[in-house]
Amino acid sequence: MEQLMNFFANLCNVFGLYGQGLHEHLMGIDKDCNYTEASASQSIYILVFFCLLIINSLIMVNYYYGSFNRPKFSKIIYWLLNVLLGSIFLFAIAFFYTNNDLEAENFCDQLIIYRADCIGFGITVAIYSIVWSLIFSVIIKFSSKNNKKIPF
Amino acid sequence: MAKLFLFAIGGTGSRVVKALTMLLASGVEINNTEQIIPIVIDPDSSNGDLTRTVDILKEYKIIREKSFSTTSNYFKTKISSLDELGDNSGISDKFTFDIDGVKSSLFKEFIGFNELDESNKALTSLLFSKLNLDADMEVGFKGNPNIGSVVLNKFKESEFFIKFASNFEKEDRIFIISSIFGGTGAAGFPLILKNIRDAKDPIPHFAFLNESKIGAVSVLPYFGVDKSSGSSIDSNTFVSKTIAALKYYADNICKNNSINALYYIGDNLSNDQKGADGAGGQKNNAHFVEMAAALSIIDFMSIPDDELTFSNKQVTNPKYFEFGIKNDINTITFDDLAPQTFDQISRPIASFSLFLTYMMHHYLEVCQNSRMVHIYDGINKLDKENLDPRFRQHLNSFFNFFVEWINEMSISTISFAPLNLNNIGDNIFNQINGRVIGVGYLDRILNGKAKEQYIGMLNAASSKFDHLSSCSKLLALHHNVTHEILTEKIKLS
Repeated sequence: MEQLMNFFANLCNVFGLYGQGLHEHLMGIDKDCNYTEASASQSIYILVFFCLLIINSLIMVNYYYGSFNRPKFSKIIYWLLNVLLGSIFLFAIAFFYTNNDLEAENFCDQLIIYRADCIGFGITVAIYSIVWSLIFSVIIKFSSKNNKKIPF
Repeated sequence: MAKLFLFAIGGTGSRVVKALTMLLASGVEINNTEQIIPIVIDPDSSNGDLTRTVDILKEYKIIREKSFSTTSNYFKTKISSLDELGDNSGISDKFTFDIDGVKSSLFKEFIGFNELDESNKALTSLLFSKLNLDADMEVGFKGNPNIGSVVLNKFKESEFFIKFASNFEKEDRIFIISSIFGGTGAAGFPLILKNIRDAKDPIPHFAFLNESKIGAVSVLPYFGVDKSSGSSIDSNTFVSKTIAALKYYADNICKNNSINALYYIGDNLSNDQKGADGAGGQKNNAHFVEMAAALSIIDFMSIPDDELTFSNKQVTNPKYFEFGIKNDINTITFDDLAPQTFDQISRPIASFSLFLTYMMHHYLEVCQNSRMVHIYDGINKLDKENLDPRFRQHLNSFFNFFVEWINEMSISTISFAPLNLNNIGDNIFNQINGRVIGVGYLDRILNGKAKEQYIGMLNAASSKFDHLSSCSKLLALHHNVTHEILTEKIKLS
C-alpha cells in the first residue's frame, strides 16, 4: 500500500502545483504529526486516486457502452464533455477534501498549507483524470458499437 | 444454372419487366435461375415505357456488376442482354428486338400492297381497313393485332431469333409477357409461342425449343384510354378484343396444350391513361396489375422442373392461374395482399425503401461525421471518396426510378400504396402504411429515435461485411440491417 501511495505521490509531485506541507498531509501524517504504517492506508493520495480510477472508468464505460453509445454522440465533442465532467468531479473531490481539512484545521500544525495548495492538488488530480480517461478510452473503445473511432 | 428468357411484348410487356426489375432489385427471390435475359419486342422503339424500362435495366446491370455478393439479396439476380450470351458475346445493353422493316414504314409498304395484283389487293382490303393499311408502324400497332400478327411473324426469320435459339439450353425456361387487349402484345404472344414450339432445322437447338418449359402471362384490360387526349386508340373495344383473343387462345394454345403455365391478370377499366399513340408520349403510370403480372414470372420459376414436362409434342400437365388479393379495396397495402404475395414482396420492398431513404436523404449528412463507424471504420470504407461516385450516381438514379414506380402505383386506380415515402427522418420506421411504430421512452433514451436507431444498427453490423468491396459492403450491410429492423422494430413478417 505504501508503494502504491508513493507512486501516486510521485506522480502528483511531477507538476509541483502544491507545497511540501500539503504533500505530507496527503501522505497521511495525522493531526498529532505522527506517521505510522497505518497512515499509508489512510492516505488521501490513495483515496483520491481510487476515486479517479473508479469515477473516470465509469464515465468512460457509460460513454462507450452505456447511454452515450449512440450515433448522435459519436463525436469528439461529446467525448471531451465526458472527460471534462470526470475531471471536474475529481477536481472537486481533491479540492474539497483537502480544503475541508484546511478549514477544520485537521492537519499537523507543523505543516504549512494554503488554499492555493488545495487548488493546485485539485488541478493535478484533474490532469491525471484526463490522462486516465484517454488511456482507458483507448483500452476499451474497440468493442463499442458507435464510438469505436473516438477519440481517434 | 438455367437461364430465363423473358419475352416482353409491347408497352405492357415493358412495364411488367420494369416491375420485375424493381422486385428483383429489392431482393424478391426468383428460383431455378440465376440469369434473366429480357427481350423487349416493340416496334415502337421510342415508346416512353420501353425507353424507361431499358434505362432501368441498364442501371440494374451496372449496379449488380459492381455490388453483387452472396450476403445481400439486393440486385441478386443477374440480368443480361441476349448479345452477352454465347461465344462471340460482348458487353451490351441492347434489351430490345428490332423488327426489320418497320422503321419509317406504313403497313401497306411493309406488306408490299402496291405490288399486289388487283385480286390480292381486294382480298387484303377485306382483311385490313384503309386506316390499317395507312398505319405508321414506327409507333407500334396502336391496338390492331391484325397488323401486329403480320409484322411480328417475321420474328422467326430474324438474326435475333437465331441468336436466342443458339443460346437456349435444355434446362432453360421461357416466359412471355403480353397484354391481350392491345396490338403488339395480343398478336405477338401466340406467334412467338408458335415459332418456338414449331422451330425446325436449321434453327439451332430447335429440339430444345420444341420441348422447352414455357410460361406466359396475358394481361387482361386494366386501364382505359382517355379520349380527350386525342388518341386514336379506343378503349371501348378492349373488352370485345379480349373476348375474341381469349377464344383464339383457348382454341390455339390451351386445346393444343402448347404452354406449361398460363397466367391471367386483369382489373376493371377504372384507370384512364393519357393514351398517346406510341413514341415518347406512351409513358403510362405504373400499376399494381403490372407488379402482379411480374409476380407470375416469380411463380412460374418456382414450379419444379418435373411439373413442367412435355411429351408427344404436348405439355403433359398445363397449368392455368389467376391472381387475387385478400381484401378487395381501392387502396391496397401490404396487409391487403394474400399471404403468399405478402411473404414474397412485403419485406423486400420495405427493406429497399428504408435503404433508399437512407441513401437519398441521410448518407451525405452521415458522411460529414468522420467518426461514424459504418462509414469510416474498416478497410473498405463507405465514405464519398471510397464509394465509387459513379456507382452512387447509378444507385441514386435507380432509387429515383423506384420512388417513381411506387408513387405511380399509389396514384393509380386501384392504388397500391404500401409505403409512405414522406416518412424519412425520425419517423422512418413508419414508412409502411397500416403499421404505426412507436419508439418506447426507454428505447429512445438508450438508442435514440428511429433514424438514429437505424444508423446505430448499421454501426453495429458494419464489421461483419468489411471483407466485401465498398459497393458490395454497402448493399450487404443495409440489406441485413433493414431486415433486422423489419423483424425487431416494425415486426413485418
